[in-house]
Amino acid sequence: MLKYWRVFTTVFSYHSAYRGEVIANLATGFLTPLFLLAALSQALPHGPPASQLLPYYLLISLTYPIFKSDIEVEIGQLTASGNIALLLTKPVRLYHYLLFKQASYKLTTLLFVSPFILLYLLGSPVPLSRLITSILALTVSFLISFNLSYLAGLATFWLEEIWVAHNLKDVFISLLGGIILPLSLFPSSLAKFLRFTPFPYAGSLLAQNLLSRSLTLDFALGIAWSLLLFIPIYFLEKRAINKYSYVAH
Amino acid sequence: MPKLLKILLRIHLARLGKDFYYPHALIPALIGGSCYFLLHLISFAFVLTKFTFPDWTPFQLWTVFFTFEIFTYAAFYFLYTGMYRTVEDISTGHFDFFLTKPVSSRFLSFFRAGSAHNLLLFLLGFFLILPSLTPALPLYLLTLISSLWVFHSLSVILISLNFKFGPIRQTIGLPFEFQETLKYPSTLYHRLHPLFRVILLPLSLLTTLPATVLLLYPLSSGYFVIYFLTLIAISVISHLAWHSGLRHYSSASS
Repeated sequence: MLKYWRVFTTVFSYHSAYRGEVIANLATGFLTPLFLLAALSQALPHGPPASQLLPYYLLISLTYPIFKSDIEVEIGQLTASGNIALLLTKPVRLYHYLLFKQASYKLTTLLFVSPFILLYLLGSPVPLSRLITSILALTVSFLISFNLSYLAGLATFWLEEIWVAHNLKDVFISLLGGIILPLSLFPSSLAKFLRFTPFPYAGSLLAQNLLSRSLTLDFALGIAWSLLLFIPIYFLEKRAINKYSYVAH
Repeated sequence: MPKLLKILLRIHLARLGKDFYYPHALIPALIGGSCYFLLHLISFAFVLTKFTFPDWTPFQLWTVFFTFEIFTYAAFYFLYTGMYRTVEDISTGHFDFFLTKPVSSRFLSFFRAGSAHNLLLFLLGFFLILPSLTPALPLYLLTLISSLWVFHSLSVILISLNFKFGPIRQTIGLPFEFQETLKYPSTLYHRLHPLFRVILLPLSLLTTLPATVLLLYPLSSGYFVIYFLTLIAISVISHLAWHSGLRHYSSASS
């Protein structure tokens, strides 16, 4: 466990020092929702007005960067360069190594974002119980997002270019997770179906929780998905490493 | 100009030849590229079920939207590779290669060939806009090219910052972060706060103007004036920014 702790602290130190990239990524996350709201605020709604979407998009822009994972890009770079062989020879499991690395980066992001979230909560207070469930929502969203990214990353053991799997994963989470559009704008039958997929829990669970919506079933489904995703990871990871090792002989 | 066109043609044909020679790489790339095409298509369809846009029929809105798709994939095909590689070349020092050539460094570094899947999706956009075609097609193409020039000039201004401040990777994708404004007609923004209007109106005209030309939509002449003023202003600023950046780069390496 000590070796993973060392990975965690090293990466935390790196991202704390080179915080420009963290800040730039946070800032650009506000642009798309801002422009969408500007357009929709001038349109005629058939239901709730666009102004009601403002708190939602504000929370999405603040919270999504905290748990959004792009670890498949790093896996792609490791496999393309061959450096993954170095990791596979070490007494660390690839999954745990990348998990601690990603957790460390996301903790740095959380530290940068937390003052703004606190400002939002000062304007729209939530009860203590919701703050506690928000920590649970954050953990669930991080795990699901990381596991989906890890699965996409394992595709690089078979595909030449990682960005295909990266794009597919990004589009599924952004569209079906409620990042681009809230699920309330989807047809009701589709929104109900999506509740049983992992995507909303990798996207908008934390924002929905902070908006004080009752989410007992969603939490149960989110926790179930965060555990279920370990199954394909276990089998695919073994096959991927066996394939890589076989090719290297 | 003929020399530049000849170089452009050779670069693009070489890249297309390579991409089509390896279909096993092109097909996954097409799948990966088309998922964003579909993302925009589906999200726009959902928005139209919940919102109505004054003075624009759904047919006209879809024309603006497909113009956005054509514009975006044209930008990815013609411009993105250049944007990405120029920042890399500046940070690694390989940019010196372009300074030694007897051709504009801006042209060589920015107008590199993109992947064939972006070209195919760009053509798909044209296929989907077929129902909107009118005799104004040549003017539509001309305004689309001038919009792409504005987009390119904006990216040049941002990437020129890399000469002075070191590698800023976010300058590569930043122009694409504004793409949400390109989906909706510019007439929406005339009642917004002036601060928002100054940014959103010129950007949204990059797709609204070509679409209105194609649809023969009665757009106010003021929008045309804003468009051409933006075209001229941003071209001049990008020229100045690029040459200022080049002087800084050259003096730093002397």
